[in-house]
Amino acid sequence: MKTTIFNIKLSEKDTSKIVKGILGYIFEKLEEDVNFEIREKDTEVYVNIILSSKEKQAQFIGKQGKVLATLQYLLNAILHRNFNDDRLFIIDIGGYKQKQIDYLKNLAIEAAIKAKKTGKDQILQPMSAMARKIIHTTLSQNASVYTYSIGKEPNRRVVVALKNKNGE
Amino acid sequence: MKDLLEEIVKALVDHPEDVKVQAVEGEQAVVYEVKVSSDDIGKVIGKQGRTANALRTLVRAAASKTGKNAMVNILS
Repeated sequence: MKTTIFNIKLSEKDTSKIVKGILGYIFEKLEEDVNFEIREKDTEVYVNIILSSKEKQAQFIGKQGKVLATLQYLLNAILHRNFNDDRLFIIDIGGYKQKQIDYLKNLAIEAAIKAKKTGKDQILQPMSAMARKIIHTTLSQNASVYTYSIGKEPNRRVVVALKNKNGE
Repeated sequence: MKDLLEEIVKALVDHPEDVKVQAVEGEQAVVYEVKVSSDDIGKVIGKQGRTANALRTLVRAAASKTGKNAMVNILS
């Protein structure tokens, strides 16, 4: 029977302590200095990892965030399995994901403006399901456009389309 | 890296006492051989190999500054 993992007691209840313990252990073994920002909500926990330099952050974010996605997947698996906490743990490095979200929200708003101005539906570049969701959500309350997706993964794209005069 | 991999795998399985990780150093690559109980092999590989691939991605990212390739093999 396991009683500890990553030197943390499985009876530990303090989420922040657990997350810092696991990630701290991982980055200590990788010989990296790290700091953490943790924000807990009812359904999710946001964890921002701050590394010592931009180069280091890029190394652990990886191309298109692949390494970061891996860290998030493993950490969620470890936490759900061992600590009875089924919230989604969103792992970020140097605010990378937050910046992506801001970028996508801007992109959505710009596409809506362009659609209105030109009278043409705007087809965005292919993007991940997570990214498409941000576009849909950003424009869901927009008075002049609506959104839908076309194409097959991994080339699925969002279309920002004009509503007719009745707002439909 | 070997200790880290061992700790992560132990956290994912039911029989941590059966987890053994060996690093086989080659000239251009390091191969990490992860041995787990046959009951646990599915947990370490994951659905469609997702967990195994996650371990590989992490190990490769960590090894990227050494200039050597890094691989993970999972055995029971």
